Amino acid sequence: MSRAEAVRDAQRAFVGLLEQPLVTSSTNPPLYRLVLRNLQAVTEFARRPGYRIQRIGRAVRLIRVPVAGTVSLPPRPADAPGRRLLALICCLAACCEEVSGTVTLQRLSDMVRDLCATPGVHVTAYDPDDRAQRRQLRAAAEYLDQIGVLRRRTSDDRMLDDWIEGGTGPGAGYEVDRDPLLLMTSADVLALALNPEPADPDTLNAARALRQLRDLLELPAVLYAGRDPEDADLLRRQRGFRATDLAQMTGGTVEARTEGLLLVLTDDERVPATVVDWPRAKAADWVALLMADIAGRDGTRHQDGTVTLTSDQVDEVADDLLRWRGDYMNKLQKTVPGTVRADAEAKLSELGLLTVTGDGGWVLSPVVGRYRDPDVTLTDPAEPAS
Amino acid sequence: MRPEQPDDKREPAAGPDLWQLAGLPGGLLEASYLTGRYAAQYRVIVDVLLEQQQHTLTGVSAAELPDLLRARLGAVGADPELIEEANFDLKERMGSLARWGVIHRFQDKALRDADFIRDLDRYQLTETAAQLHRAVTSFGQDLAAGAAATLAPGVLTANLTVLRDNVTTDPDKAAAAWSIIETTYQAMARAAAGWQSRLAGALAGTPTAEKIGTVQETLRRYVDMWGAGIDTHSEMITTHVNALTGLPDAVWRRIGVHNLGQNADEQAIVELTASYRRTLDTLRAWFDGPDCQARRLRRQMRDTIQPLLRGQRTLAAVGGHVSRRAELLALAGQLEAAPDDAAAWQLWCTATSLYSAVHLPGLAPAPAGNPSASSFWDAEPVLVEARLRKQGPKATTGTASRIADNREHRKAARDHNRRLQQEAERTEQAILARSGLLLSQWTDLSDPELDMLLRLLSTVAASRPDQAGVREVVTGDGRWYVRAEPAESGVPSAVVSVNGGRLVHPDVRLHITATAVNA
Repeated sequence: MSRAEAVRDAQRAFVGLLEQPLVTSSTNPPLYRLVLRNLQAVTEFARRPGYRIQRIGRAVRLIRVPVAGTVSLPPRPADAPGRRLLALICCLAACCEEVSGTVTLQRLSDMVRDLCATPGVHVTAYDPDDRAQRRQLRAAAEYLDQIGVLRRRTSDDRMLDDWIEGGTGPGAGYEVDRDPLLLMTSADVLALALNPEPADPDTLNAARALRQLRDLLELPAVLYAGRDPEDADLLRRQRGFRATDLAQMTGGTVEARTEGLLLVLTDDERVPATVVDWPRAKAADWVALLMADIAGRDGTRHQDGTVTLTSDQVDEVADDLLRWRGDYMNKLQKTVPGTVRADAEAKLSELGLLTVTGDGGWVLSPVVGRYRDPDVTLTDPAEPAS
Repeated sequence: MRPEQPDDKREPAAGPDLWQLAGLPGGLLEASYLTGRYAAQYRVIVDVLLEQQQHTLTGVSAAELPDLLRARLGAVGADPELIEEANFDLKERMGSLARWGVIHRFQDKALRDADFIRDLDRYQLTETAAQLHRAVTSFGQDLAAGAAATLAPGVLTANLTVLRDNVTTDPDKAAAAWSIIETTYQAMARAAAGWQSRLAGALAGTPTAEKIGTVQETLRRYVDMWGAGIDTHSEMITTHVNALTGLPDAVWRRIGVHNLGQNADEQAIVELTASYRRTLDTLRAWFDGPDCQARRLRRQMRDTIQPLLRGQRTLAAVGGHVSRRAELLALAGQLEAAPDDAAAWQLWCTATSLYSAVHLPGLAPAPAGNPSASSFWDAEPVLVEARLRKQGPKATTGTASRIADNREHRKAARDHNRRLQQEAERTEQAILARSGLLLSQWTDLSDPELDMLLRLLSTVAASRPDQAGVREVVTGDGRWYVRAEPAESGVPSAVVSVNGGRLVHPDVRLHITATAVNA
């Protein structure tokens, strides 16, 4: 393997960890192997933005140690778990600690119920006799399954359905993997997150470059507007350095424009996992694309590149789109008023391209300018939508 | 879903307990002294009695017991004056021990007058209690025994060789070798069981630093001393054991008789001979074949090494914090107390960093010059090919037709239409402005105006004139009302110069007004 290929491999591994910070030999074998092969380089990459690579058994973890109690957090995905589910995930993981080997969902459910009833645990009681709560527990188990803490050992969905619907039977059989379980949280990071140290101006100053690097690594785009002037100035002056750093770590290029910077990741062979697959051949995706395009023209553009529309203007844009392309929309979008707008808002917010103000108005990020005049083609239903 | 009822709280089943009736061994009354409220006091007493067994055959007298107890308390680092404490009633404690069958209580002979007013009780542990207490005190002390047992395979080989060489010729030597084999084997089995139980305990449940230490220590001892011994000695031991098992009963009987003496009764000799055979069988089970106990133990040990190494790495990686339970629960509480889902998500991500970075798709062509001087809105956009899926009913015949992307065309068409419309409007206005003029006065006609004029004239020509020769007509689209007054006689034809040439027509006067439709 040539040196360039080796570097490329390491970059792929690092970007893979940015997408899936906890990887085990069973959840994502190719990435796991890739990371292990390039562990040294990946550790070095991770050190630059102040991250940490931790490895236990057959699990590897990228830990984003918070700086001043914060991490560079991209917009919340539309399907992100709610707070109750997140709390249940924690409780379930705590119960998994007491299990060695295999366990059934029914048993886990009992353990969570007992755990929530333990004095000193400040979590709302979990009632396994309630179907909705059983569903949530299944969702929690699925989440842990995804990150590799639980591994489902039974494939009979009927058993699981029986448990969800009627509360009978064992549900599903799982195996607990301790390595990812231990890696799910780490004591120091949790302490930093739960009791953030007060933001000391000196610390913030010192961490400025670190946080800029993190923002560029993690966020869809980094805009000068909205940052404090000193920060924006530093970023503007050092964008060359940052671009070099990012190119070394990820193999991507930095797209610099008047309004801000963004990291563009491309790969000759495949699209890196962190790059969102947008627009896909789905009604919601292209509605978002077209709405952004039209709104970008119709709205008021400001000095900093943002475009604002009032709520009424947004409605007009949606109506216009519905009249123009209504034939191709799905039934819900055609029949339920407001669906087009809601779909577009959900999708664009998730991508970090849109902020919806309190009164329903839109603030489009300047980055929307990258997607103007999209080339939209039509396919018929016989062609598989991929 | 219901929690299981604890064992003891269950209602007793009606009728006698079949398990007890089956004659199975149940509780051991002698062990009561280990479990009661005053277990610590009882245990010290029994400790002292057991220790004194080495020095006296007649037991410990009640008079010397308190001093012995004080000495014992001092030896273990407790306050010797504890026996003066209110709830320590030696007489009563000894009574309980006697009731449980832990001690025999008997009386010294009273020889002098004074003896009759003294407490002349003597105490001796019963045999069962002594054995039980020896077992109890040996807890946690099998380290030394284990270390001695690590040499077992070697010792066994040596003595089996001696036994085999002398079994028929020298019963004395044979008996000596046999006694070593017997004890060695027992120590070995005990040590192995100890190792196994310790490993099993250490590997169960959440790993802790202490457990990993235990595993490490056990494994080290096993691997250092015994691991290779199994391979080296197994074959020799098996060969010897097989040869010895093949010997006739008479040979074993002779050794038994030699051990027990000529006067031993028949029963004892038969039992001893049988025990020889049993021991040989057990030895074979230990060392013979690929699935023998020794190899199985070694396989178990081997399987332990990997989790052990992982455990060590785990400890190193997590800095000694092996359980995440408390942290997870604290996090769960805070997550649920978050004001909304978004805040909870933020906390979750900060605390666990289990989230994915997001990058936007597409590579925009770099603008010329300094890229950071141009705006996102001015630079070339990203090439996005969004494919829309056509919804709705499929064509009933043939293959579904591709829907061409007409967006640009539509847009162009719309623009074009709008332009045409505007142009048409302008033209109509210009034509209307000329209403009432003679045709010869129509100058500077543009092409669209000429177009419209020709349409009007052709409409007019197609109509029938009235007596005065005036033609009145409404255009075919119903928008214009045209009234053409005929040219006066003798007036030459009007010549209207247009871009494409000249229009020659009788010099009519055209009145054009918009109809109600048009308005």
